[in-house]
Amino acid sequence: MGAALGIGAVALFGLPGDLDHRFVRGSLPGVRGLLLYLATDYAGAARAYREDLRRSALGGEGLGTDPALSALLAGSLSGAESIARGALAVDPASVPARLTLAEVALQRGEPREALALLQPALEGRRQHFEVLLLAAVAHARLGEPDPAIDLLNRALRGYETERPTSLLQALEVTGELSRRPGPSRPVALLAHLHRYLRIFDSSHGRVAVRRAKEAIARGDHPADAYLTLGIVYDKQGYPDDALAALLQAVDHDGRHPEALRWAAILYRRRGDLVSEYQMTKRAYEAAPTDPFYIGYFGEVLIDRLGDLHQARTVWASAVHEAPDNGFALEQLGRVERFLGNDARAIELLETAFRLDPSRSITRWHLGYALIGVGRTDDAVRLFQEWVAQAADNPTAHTNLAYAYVHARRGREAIAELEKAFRLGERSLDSYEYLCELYFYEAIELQRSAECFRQLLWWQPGRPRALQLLPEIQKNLAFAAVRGR
Amino acid sequence: MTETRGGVLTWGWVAVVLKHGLVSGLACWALWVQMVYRVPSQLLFVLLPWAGAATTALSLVLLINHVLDTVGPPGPVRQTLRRLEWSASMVVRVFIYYSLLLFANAKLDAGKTTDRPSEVRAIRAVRPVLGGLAPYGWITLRSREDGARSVRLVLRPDERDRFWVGEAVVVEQRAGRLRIPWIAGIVADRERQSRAILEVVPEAAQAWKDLVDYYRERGRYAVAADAALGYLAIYPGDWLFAIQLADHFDVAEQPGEGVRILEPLTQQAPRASVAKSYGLALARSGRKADGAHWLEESVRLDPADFWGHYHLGNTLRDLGRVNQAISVYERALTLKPGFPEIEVELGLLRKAVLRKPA
Repeated sequence: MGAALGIGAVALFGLPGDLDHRFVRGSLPGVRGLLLYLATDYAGAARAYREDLRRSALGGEGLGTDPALSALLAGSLSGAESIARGALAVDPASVPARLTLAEVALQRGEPREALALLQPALEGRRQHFEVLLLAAVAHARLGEPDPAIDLLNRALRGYETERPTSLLQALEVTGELSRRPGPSRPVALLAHLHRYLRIFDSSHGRVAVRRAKEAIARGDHPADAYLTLGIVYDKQGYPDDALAALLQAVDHDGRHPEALRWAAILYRRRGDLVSEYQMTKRAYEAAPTDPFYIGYFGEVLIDRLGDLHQARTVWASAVHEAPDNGFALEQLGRVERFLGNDARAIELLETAFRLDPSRSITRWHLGYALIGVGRTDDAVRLFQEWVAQAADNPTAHTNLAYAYVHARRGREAIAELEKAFRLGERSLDSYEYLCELYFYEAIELQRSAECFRQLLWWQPGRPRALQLLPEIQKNLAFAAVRGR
Repeated sequence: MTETRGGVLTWGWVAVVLKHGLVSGLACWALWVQMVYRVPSQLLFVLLPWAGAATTALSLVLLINHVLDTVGPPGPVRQTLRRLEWSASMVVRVFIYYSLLLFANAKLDAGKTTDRPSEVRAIRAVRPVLGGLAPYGWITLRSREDGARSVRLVLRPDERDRFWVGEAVVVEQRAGRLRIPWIAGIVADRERQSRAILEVVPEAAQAWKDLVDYYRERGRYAVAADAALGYLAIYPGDWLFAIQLADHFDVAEQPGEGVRILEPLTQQAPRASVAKSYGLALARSGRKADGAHWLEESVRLDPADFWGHYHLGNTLRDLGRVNQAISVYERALTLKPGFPEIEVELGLLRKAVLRKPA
């Protein structure tokens, strides 16, 4: 019946234009899944797509490097469970193993067991998208919309997924909940699930809006429903309607961090920095220990407003909460450097850099803090290491050049900057610096004049170029007099 | 090729296509002029729909008339269509001539820009009926100086999403060569926006800096320096900002403002670059003796700095302290041998000393 309805839907409307490839499969169960999906039998579609994945896996297709997931894809729940348990015994923090075990539990109809398996991963600082999604599915199955909505909102703050099976878990539970009779249907939760499915098929946006409006009418999580309404309106290209909905969400719950953050995003897009700041601050105050909102507020304070004293308070509290949080250490170090507390900045940045030596931006801040206290040789060494690790990275060469200048090694600075531009450096400020170095360091007057003229051609009115070009021309005239 | 009935391509058709192309091209150009050199006038909003309708009607009538020309002798229908063509072309002509007038008015205008602080009251875009580009949109602005006065302006396609209702903007108005005031631009009111931010977040460094840039770019140097002093009172450690701003003031030949913003920094721990910028600003603003003092301080703090010596040498030379200038220039040349200007200056000063009677 469902498949027939699907055929009718395709005949009448065709396939939705932006349907994700996960829903368009070539195998027989895949086509069946698509038809059931189009007929809005999402639970049936999920089961058919799972059968499609099983056949593909048995044929050796779509298997990744995770043997437990491969066994799950091949439909062997006990095999997947046994491999994942083995992996968990070796590494109790293994997120993929927990995800596989949770999926096995969900497929066996044991959502409570799935939640228990996911719990340790939910307590970590880094919030894994699929952990949050599967936990939300488990709560939905248990008839607990409050935590399910909360987890979905947290999951959708940053979407990243690689496992093909977690989408099917969400699709299946959406189908099951949608089939419930009207009064017992958790419409607010469904609105959130459709908001998630909209990522793969924009037509779910309309359904999410409908469910959200039903939820608002029923008084079922109205703030969350307005949030969904706002986000979907924004994705559909109606930013004014989106902002109005988000402000409604904030009216219903003035401490809803996600609604406040989304309102801030829309204010930012408008260029209304005051409102952006107020909303971001309220989001932070509503969830002061959540690294996500700390990061957001901290970014507004440092990069958008430059309120360094307030930023210091925020990041110091984040470091106090988690002394091994490299990002918080880096941000606090940045603030201390801007405030002129170079010694403290170096201490913080060195700790952050030890925690993650691959982060170029931490190295960058540390290098300039070292220059600030006159430790130019250390800065040169730090940037030389960067160049050794990333010889083709123009930024590494540019920064080494700046360190050379501070170490009074002008010729080497010129060579590094020239190398940076050969590698694709685009910054006009760095180009201006190179022109200055030709003049100051190498006294190559003709070259410096040409360099500044080129710069002024690219961007007329650059004050430094306007200031120095007459000086250089004067010196060229003097050089000519001297030569005669 | 001559015009023949049933001919595939005749001079008549070529003429119709050319005429149609010319009219459409001119109408598009006229619309572009209205968007670029716009005037706060209600007439335009009466004229625009009529001009659009007339251009379409004219194209249609041109085509029908030409087809009828090839069919048979003139009759009352043809006469009516001819009148319609004339009326439509009249409206299009008025629109084009009006745009031409605005074009000349703006292009020949060499006058100054007057800022009119305003607030966005409404934004509308004419939605296309059958998809494609919206032909035009408009914005309604209320003047902050004269709250009762609202103006409506045409919006260019690139401006449609740039503004929001309630936003503070500045309308850059110019007098016009033919005394028709026109709008050179609608930009965000950075002064009002920065002040609004500072009311809520008084320590927002970026807002202070934006305010300084805004005043400086508009040639309001004293106010820019006041704002910079406000910023430096909160962030006294940002000496680099002060030096860069002093540099801007120097380029704008406002060294006195440079002196004002650098002065408080000289009370802090001694720093060669601050002393050098301060000394230079003092010397450039006519206080050469004070300037020399601070430049001496800068080379004392950083004896390897060529430019400190360079500026000190120049200032001492201007003060007539020739022997001291020679000694400083000589030190400068040891730091950067062969620097042409110093070599020439040094030669001239040495000659002057030799010529001086004992």
